[in-house]
Amino acid sequence: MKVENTKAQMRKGVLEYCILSVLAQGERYPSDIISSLKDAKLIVVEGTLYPLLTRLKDAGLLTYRWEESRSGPPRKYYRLTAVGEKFLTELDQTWDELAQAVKKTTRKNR
Amino acid sequence: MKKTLTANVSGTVFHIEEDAYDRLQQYLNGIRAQFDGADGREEIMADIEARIAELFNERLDGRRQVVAMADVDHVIGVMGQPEDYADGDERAEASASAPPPTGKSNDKGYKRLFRDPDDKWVGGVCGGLGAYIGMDPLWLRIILIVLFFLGTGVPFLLYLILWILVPKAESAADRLRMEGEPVTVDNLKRAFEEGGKRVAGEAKDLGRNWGREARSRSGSAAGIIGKLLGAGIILIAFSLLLSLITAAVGGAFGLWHATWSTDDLGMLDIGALIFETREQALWLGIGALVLCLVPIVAIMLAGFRLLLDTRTPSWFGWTLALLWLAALVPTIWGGLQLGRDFHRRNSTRTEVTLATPSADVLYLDALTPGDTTGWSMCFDDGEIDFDLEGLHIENGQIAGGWARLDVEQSPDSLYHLVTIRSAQGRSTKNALARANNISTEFRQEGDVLYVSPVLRFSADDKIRIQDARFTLLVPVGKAVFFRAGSEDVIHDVDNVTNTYDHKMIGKTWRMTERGLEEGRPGAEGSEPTEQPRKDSIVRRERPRSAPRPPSVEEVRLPSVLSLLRLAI
Repeated sequence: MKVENTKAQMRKGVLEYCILSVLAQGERYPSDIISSLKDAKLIVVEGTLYPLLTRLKDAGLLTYRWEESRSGPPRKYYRLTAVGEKFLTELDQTWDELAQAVKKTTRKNR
Repeated sequence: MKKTLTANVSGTVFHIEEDAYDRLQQYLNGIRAQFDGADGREEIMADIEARIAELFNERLDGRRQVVAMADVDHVIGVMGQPEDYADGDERAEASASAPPPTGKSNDKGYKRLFRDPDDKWVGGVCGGLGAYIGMDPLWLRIILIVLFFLGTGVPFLLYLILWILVPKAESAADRLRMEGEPVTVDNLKRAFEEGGKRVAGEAKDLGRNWGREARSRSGSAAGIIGKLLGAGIILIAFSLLLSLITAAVGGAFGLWHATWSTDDLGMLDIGALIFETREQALWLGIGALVLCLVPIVAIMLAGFRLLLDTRTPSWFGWTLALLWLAALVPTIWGGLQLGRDFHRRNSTRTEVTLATPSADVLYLDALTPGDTTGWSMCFDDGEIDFDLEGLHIENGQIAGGWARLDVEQSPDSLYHLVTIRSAQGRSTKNALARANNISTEFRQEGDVLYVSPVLRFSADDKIRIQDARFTLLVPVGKAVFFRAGSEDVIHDVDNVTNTYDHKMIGKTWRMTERGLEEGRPGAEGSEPTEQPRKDSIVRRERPRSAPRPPSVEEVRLPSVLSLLRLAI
């Protein structure tokens, strides 16, 4: 069993939550999201993000608008929908509970 | 100098070197393949291409004109390998294969049978089946276990087959289909939300994802038991396979070298004594082999699945199932052909009047069949049991030591010997012909009647439960004396004292109105001399067959044949 796999899977589990959190701060275009996530070392390559965004958008959690760009093709600027905000609130709560749970159990085990 | 091409990437025109173009093309095709069949594929691809165009622009920075190999490699480095895209998570697939949301979203989606990885004891078959038929899996499990303990192996086998053939519900979409919910974005979201509300549930969910690999490799208690079980199953299946192969090779050898008209006889020539033709034996053999082989292979696959967590591709499972069904055809065909030859039974009766012995006592003895090396005649519980070990092949003739003799009352004042020979055949006529082909042997020498327990028939007749019964008819007031040795031929002789056959030996039995009774005939009767008269009747019931030289080859038959004989 490789620790890399476990790490990747742990990251994957929270990736959606983090994307929504990044977008909660305001409208973002994929490169912005990517740089935030890259800073946090949540993703290594950008490719992972695109299918995720499309999926969240299809699920009605995100919406986007086109904006012309001087340095290339028009960009998609994503933001949360009302559903997405509600979704995020619930995830926030879940995350807190989860973090508590993890904290509690790992402390106990030590 | 390098050749360049012009490429339109997301609306922006780039000059690109030919090799770099090929590389980029290959890369995009690789990503496209990852989203094969996905609904949002075009959109995702457009987004990716847009990002690639952006990255190219950054790299060229207005100073360079041409995209080179290094630029493409840089883009790939930033974006990641095609495999990374699909790595999103399993829900990607789910929403990808979701049908477009329509107005009638409360329609029940079609149900599919999956194995439920979240509700499983062994393989999740019951869990999935329960969801499929809308029943609590616990009941299915109880039923299965009860059936298993009732001694029927069928549900066990069925379970194994389902285990191999039914796919595991891997993704959320699979799970929805398993429960019959339509796979729509709403449902997936709802499934997700429901999960999010329960901390425990969510934690378990995450844990499941993280632990999935851990579980398949490391040794939790359940894992170890599963692996031991798997190893055991493989071991059993392997030994079954070995014995099957041994049997098949042996059987083929026996059937193929069965030249029973010559001296070249072997243990397994028995096949030739039962089957009509080699083709019949071949088809039956192959059919039976496949019928046995397929389940063994299936069991082995299940063992490997437990031990190594291998997945059997479904085409393989279906191939096995089809193969098994296909094997039924020649087996049934051959079986019916062979069975047809056992369809009818018929018998033929011959009666001989014996010379009345002096002193009104007939001495019964068995006629030993010449060289009896290897013949086994067991005396067991008062019953003479020749078994089929007493079966020999002598020069194209099958000889079996199972003719029997009974004693009954004669209708007149003379001794008679009745011989009833019987056999099976595809018609009564055919059976009669076979019965007539059976030769039996007895002879009277003065006061002694020798009866042979051996019957013979041509090997061409095949073994069709040929049988011969002698009935010695003793007139009332006269007697029969069972000499030592006659226990080889008498069978279940009725008498008034219900004495067992072997206790009747060495005694004189008088026929009375009520039946055989121990004692001499009349009051004055005295034992005849041990050397009886030499004028003798010699009778042999035999077909117009060729002379029979003494035994050339002897074949011992396993008692399978005796079972066969008993069964019909």
